[in-house]
Amino acid sequence: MTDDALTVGWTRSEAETRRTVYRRLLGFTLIVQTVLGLIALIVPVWLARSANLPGPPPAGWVQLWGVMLLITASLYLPGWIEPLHVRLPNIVGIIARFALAIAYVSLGRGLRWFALYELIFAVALAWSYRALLRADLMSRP
Amino acid sequence: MSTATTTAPPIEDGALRWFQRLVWAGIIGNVVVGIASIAYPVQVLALAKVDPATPLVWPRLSAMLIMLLAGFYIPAALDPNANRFAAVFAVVCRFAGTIFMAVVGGHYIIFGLFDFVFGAPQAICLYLAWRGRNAAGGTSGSGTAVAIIASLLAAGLFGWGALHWLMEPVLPQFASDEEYFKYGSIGNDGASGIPYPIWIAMPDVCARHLPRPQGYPALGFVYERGRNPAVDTPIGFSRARVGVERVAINCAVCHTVRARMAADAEPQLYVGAAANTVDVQGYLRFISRCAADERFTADDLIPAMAAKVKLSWLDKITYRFVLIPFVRKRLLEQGEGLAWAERRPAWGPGRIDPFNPVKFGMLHLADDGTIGNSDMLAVWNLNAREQIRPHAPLHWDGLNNSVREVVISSALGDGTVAREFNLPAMERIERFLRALPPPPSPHRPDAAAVERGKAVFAANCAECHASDGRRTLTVIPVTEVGTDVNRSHMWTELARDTYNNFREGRDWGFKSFRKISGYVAEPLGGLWLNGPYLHNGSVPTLRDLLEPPAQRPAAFVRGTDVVDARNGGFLAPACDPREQPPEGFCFDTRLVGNGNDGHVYGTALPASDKSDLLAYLLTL
Repeated sequence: MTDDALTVGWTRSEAETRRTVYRRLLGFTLIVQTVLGLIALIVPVWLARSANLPGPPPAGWVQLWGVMLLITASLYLPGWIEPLHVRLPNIVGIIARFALAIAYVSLGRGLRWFALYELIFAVALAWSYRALLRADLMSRP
Repeated sequence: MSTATTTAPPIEDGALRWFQRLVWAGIIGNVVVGIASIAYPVQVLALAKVDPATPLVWPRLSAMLIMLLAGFYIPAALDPNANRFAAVFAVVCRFAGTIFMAVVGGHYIIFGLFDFVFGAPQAICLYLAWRGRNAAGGTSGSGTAVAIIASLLAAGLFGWGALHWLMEPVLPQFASDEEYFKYGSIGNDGASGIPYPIWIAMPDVCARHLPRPQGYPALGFVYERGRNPAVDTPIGFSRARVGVERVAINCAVCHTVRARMAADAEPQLYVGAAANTVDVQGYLRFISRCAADERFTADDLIPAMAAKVKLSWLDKITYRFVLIPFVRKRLLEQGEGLAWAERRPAWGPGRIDPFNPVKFGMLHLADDGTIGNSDMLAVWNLNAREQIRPHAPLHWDGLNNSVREVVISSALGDGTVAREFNLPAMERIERFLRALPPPPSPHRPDAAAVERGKAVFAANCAECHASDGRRTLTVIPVTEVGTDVNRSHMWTELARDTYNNFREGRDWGFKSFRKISGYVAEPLGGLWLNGPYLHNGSVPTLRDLLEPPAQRPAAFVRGTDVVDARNGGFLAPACDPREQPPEGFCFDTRLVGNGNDGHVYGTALPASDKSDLLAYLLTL
């Protein structure tokens, strides 16, 4: 009994750790995404020049990109708050990052750096979320 | 025996199901629009009436994000009760898109409306569903009033957005700067444009208000070869869609001339030259008098319109009940706004009072009784002017010395408004005019006389009119040049200060308006096309200009297009102001503002010197 109890406690602790890691990772990417969205919205021309985005882009389209990043980040929030109970935004988000990475690569120029970023975090989030789900499953008696 | 009972589902369940359906519909909508925009971005942008995007990666990226965004709506569509946060955010994000697009403005509002179409009913359904559940749990009141107000607000917002989208100008594209100058929009289409079908029908319905029953050509407008005056617009008129297709004037109406080397010769067009034949006041009178005519009704106009333009039944209803009454009211108001001009001598063809309408209208200054009637100006050689003298004065009295400000303020004078202002169009026009050279003179006088005349010019005229003249492109005081003072008096210090501080609609950045009492000593490029001469067009030919004022014609016909190869300028026979000639306009120099005094330089030269000087001037 005692061993079983200790084992369950460890797996729960492990699940909690995985949850914290995943949420921190996702939180970081959402903050980056929000900051990027705000920059695109407020100083689109500066961003386009600084990041060597395909151009010359009309400022309105860069701002639209920024707004969509902000909207996506906000739709992600339920998944960040309760990653285990609200799984779909997390799964969609990871798939979206892979899709965006491909899109950014194909669009070229400075967007390729964004592709690299999205790809790295898509892999990291996928690995982290999978670990969280496994840990959560293992923590159930 | 058993009784079967059926129970209607509670309203909140129905509302929740509809919410889910609407979210799914929105997801499908996003995906369809996204795929279409990735595959056919140019066509989708054209359909949405949005400006073409270059490069196309941006609309494609936006389309990609729209599709990815749809994925985040799925939790709300699957189970809005279990995913309350996602459900609320799905609605909020639709409204965020609507608000962003409304702020961006222009035709981008169509994307905002797309979000609104899904967001508004989703919000209502979600509210009804959750209100019902809360009420069942005893946690909330009815909230019907809130739902009604929200629905009304939503409908109002949608209507505003739709109207905004419909009324955003759709401007035709022009490959060449010259074509743009002749037919492009200057940002006045919505504010002062007349719906094309009405505009094209007005000469038929109101023929009696034209000087001659020839349609718009009777007002001296310039048509290019191949354009049909019955259905096409002349040079100087743009056609752009603002709700409906509209016709409005642009810069070229006063700055393109038609000229013939002889009465039986083919007319030639010269872009940038003063529009010697165009009767702007006649046009303004015609449209306001036509609007006041008893025949300016749907019953008379619609058949005339339908004879030239295909009109659907919806068009006819719209014109009958909305557009014709609206246009009539606006044209009558415009006519009343220009009533002051009827108390002054007529402008006549090739002349205009360009600043008093601005003073009394746009700048809201009181009618000060001044007369600003002046000859239209050629607008070529703007770069060359600045090479002669940096910040060279512009307009007859040099009231501004910034080409940029003159282009923008001229557009404002033609009816441009802030909400339609198109800075790239202004820059394009400025670029075109800066590089536009005057056409070389076709006259070939005796070469020896020209050489002698060149020496006479150097001795008597070059100081003010040669490209290296000491006073060329400076403002010569009225007291010195002695020409009619009215145009100079028209521009006041109050007008200068008011225009420099004009901020209606936006900060126009004017700072170069100034007041100098005098007239600019102009370089003489394109002189052969600039007749009649002096700032008010009061001297018909160069030969007359070399005569003392008392011997210059007291009344002459202006507005003709036959070049006078012997005397310089255009043929201008003498006339009696009490009888208008069959062609052109009898200009009376005895009327106030029309005086032909002053500029006596060269009038005392011997006849042989005058003849030689004239030969030289004809070559400029």
